[in-house]
Amino acid sequence: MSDLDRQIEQLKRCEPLKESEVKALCLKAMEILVEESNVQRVDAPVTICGDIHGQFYDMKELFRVGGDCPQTNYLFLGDFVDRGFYSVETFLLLLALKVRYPDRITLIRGNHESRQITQVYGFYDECLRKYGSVNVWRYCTDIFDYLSLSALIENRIFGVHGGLSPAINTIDQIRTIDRKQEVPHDGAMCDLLWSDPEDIIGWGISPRGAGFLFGGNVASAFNHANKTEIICRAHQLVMEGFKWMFNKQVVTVWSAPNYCYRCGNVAAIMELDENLNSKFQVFEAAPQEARGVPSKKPAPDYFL
Amino acid sequence: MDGAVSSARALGSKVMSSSQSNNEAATQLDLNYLQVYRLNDEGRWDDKGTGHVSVEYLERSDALGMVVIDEEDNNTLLVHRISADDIYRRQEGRNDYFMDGSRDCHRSGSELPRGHGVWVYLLWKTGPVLQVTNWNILVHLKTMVSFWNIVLYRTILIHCATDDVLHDSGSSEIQQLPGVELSSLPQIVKTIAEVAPPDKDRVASLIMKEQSYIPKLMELFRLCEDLENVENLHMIFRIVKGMISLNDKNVFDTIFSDEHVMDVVGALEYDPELSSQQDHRGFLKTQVVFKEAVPIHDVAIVSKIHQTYRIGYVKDVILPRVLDDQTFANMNSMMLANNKAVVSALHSDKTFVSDLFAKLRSPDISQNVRNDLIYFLHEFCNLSKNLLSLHRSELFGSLVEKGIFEVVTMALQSEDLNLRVSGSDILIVILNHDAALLRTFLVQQEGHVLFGLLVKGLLNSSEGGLQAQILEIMRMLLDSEPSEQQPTEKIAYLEMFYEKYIDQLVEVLTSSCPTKVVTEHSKRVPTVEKTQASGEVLGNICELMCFCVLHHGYRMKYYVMRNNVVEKVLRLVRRKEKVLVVAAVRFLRTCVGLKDNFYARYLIKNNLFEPVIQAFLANGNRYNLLNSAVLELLDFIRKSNLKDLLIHIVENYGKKLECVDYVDTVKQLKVKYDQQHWFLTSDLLSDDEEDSAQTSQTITVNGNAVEDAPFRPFCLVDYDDEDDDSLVPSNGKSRPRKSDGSEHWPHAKRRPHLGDFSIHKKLRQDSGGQSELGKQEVDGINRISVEGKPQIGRTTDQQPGNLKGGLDDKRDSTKSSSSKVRDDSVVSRLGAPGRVSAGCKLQIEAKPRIPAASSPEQSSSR
Repeated sequence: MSDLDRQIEQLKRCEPLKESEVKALCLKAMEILVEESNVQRVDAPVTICGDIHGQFYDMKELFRVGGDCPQTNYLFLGDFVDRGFYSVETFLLLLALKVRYPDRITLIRGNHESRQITQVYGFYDECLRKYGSVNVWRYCTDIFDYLSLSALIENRIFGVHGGLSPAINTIDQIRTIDRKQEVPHDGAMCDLLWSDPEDIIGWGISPRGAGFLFGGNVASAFNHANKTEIICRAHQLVMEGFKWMFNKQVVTVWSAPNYCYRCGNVAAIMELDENLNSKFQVFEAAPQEARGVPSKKPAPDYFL
Repeated sequence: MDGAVSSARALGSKVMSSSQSNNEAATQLDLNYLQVYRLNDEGRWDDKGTGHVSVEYLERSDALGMVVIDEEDNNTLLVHRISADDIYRRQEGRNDYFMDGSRDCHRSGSELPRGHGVWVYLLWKTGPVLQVTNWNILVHLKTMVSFWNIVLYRTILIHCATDDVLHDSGSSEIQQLPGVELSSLPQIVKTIAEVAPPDKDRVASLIMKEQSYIPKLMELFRLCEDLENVENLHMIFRIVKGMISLNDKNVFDTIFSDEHVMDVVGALEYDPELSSQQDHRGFLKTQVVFKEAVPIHDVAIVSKIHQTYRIGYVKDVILPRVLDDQTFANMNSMMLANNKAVVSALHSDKTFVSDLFAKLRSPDISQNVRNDLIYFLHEFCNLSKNLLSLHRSELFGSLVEKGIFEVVTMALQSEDLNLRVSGSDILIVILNHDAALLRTFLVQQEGHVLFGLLVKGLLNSSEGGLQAQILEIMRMLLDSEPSEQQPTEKIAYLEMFYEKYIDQLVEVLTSSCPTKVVTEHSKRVPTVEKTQASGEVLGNICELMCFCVLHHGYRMKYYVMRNNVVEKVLRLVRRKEKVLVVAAVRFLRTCVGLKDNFYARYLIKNNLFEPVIQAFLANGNRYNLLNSAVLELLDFIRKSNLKDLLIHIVENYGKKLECVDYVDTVKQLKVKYDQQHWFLTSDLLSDDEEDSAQTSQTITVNGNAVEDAPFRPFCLVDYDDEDDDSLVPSNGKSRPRKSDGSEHWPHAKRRPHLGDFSIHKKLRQDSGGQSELGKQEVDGINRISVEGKPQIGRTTDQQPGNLKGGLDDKRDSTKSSSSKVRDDSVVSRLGAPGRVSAGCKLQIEAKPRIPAASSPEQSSSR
């Protein structure tokens, strides 16, 4: 068994890797991700997953429902980290799968894959607590900069974490973004990761303070201009796990059941067959027994 | 407030009886549990209790009402008449409203619902999405449709009449606690673990009043554990968990005291939700080791240190899932306060710090002891982050005086990687507080030993996180000062860096890059000298170089020009690691990004785009990060109107770049070049005079003077595809366009149009048959119209999800035809020929974009 396979097995048990292993894994992943495009092409059949947010055991539930990688081809729409208790294990498992099966799993960037946001919403603290230093956070956030920004499935479905941008009319325009940077506070790259669909006409100011709200007509125009049919995105909690909008032109997929361990929502993944027929698999949070002991054990030695 | 409550209570009994008598006749839907909160006069949310919600016909009326019956005492919590006229605002998950117990609602003052009466906030407590059967029944009840919409979202905010809220759960005040007996455990569970949030303080004070309460309970726990009575142990688990959730400082102090903490942790091992018992005590007793590097004489301080560790363990390992935000925050602040107290006490201890350093210097101690001392120092510095800035200054001041940097110098020379990492982390902590302390030391230290070690660390690969830390140290040391005047210590430090050390960094770059580009065919090239640095090291150096270009204006500029640094850094494109090739492009982009003419001329003179363009072309049509980075660079040059560079690139690489047909970056570059070329030749502007062309002047267009606006000759146009307009829905509504700031003019003032038909013809010839040019230009003029602006304004005024606002919005948008008229008139006034596009440019005015600090998401973070 190769080191990588061993690491994947270890991560599947929710045991974090050593700091030096994380570093090596990230360097390998970097070489793979640097070759990816801003709009990563994905072949059907594929299963699309929304936000995970460090809910490791719920992600295992996701793989139980959706099938293991590489048997199932996966597209994850970002927001792997923050809020949940296992951001480190969650992201590293996905990254290890990416390195092991680069063509069977696609990871794109969410608004939480950012240095600023992770310092507020938990990933930074988690790394500090689990490793005693923030180096693992540094490696992971460096990798975030290389993650692709969106995906295009069989030229017909556009996958992105947040939504559309007034600076982007055609998918080709995304090509001229130099994505290797911290998520900026405005501009096309920020909007793709932060925007939300809303029942308005045209564009609106987002209450999030970044990105925009976009209406049904904007979604139609985008789909028309790019000859796409659906904009598939994540980014917003939907209690039923998925939600269609604007006459099935936009769909929100949410894959963190009982979000933050208390929202009471169910989660979903969107399965597309080779003809792009969609089917949603709805699943609930993993049962308590399956969770095991929380692994945020502090270092056993202490001076103060 | 009291008056309101009592009147509500009186009314409650009345309605309660009526609703009970009506129960049988009512169409009852047992939907789910609800938690009811009420907005009080101070704008906070009071918890009114939890109950079953049902929808019933109200007594003596045909109206439906939503009734919430308290699950514990069957009091009616809420009777709310549902009317089809009411608009229920749904709160979608995006806003992340959750509430835990007594916690205030996250809404800030400005977001509080306005209006008369009482707002009630309901939170669906448990269970999956409503069953389909309920949905059918609900649809059956016509008036319920609007209600259904809100049910779907589970979190609802409804506007009720004052009378609707009936029950105040704080009414039955708890007078005393049940005695601590095995038989009374169920009552204790009810009193402590299921206490209503408003009563928490009272229960906590009752517990503390009876001093033997907690000891007795712990005794009971030991008894049950001996008897292996799992059922009772589960109850005790709930009681202890409940005591922690009381969130009371005194209770915390008692349960985390040395006396009780192990029993408390023991009780928490019996979580009824987990199938097996957890061995927390085993971990704390056998695996955890408290290391006393230097003896701490004060017993109280030692006890605080232990307490902090245990609180952290309970908070992070045992109970993270069940603690509410408030309790979590309080436990955190207890730990912080403890840390502060410990660090301050050790600092003010007259002998402690001196002892520590004396011991560190002593030649007699073993390596292990020395290592522990350094680890201790590391932790000590880390915890000092919580001190007030003033105290931290004092502490660091005295640590530096005692020789902490010498200790770090020693640590960085160690063979042990962990020790080196600890050493560099100490530097980061101190730098975060005050970089001057370290800079002064580095400059003054004899032989610059420490700085030499840092540079060495940066240039040699190591397995651990040392590299990343040293990169951060370097950045903090080199950081630019916000003020113009640099402190003397900074100047001295920069002089040292630029005179002695930066050469080393560049040297590593040049010696590690192959002299020729490594192509796929020449794989067998014997790998260069042994001194080759790892990709990571080179990436770090490149990043540091970017940092210097960005932050050290003239100093770096001088260094770059004198040593042809860009050429050297760009040798990275010859490395086989694509990451480094991209890093090299980023360095060039950083230089270009300064928009500094000196850099521009230097780049042109030395033909420094060559390697990057070569790498780009070698990459072919592959759509990867390198491809995007170079396209962005070219786009940036065009958008920022960097004339010299633009001309240089088009004239030297225009032909080669023609193969780029998958995006219009290169096409647009040429169009812009052609415009410039025309302008330069027709106005006979020499290179040196260019800048003056950008100053304000009055310009004549088609015989009319155009308002005095700062004239930029190479105004640029945003070329959307010609057939863009066909994509606009045919209802005549405008479609907002690109807004990338740099490209559209900041004011809605009209710019002079570049001319008449003859010019267009000339341009077309110049550009080798770029037949679209003229038309695009017209588009460009057209796009500066302000038509897009009101639209965005409208949507901001409107509350998302507010039905009424939505309707207004639709009405407003039909006005776009009138703004189009305005648009036409602008064009005719300018006398511009050609067609008028229906498109417009979306102008967005300064809008707040601070995702981290003020994002609404924050409201739900811990």
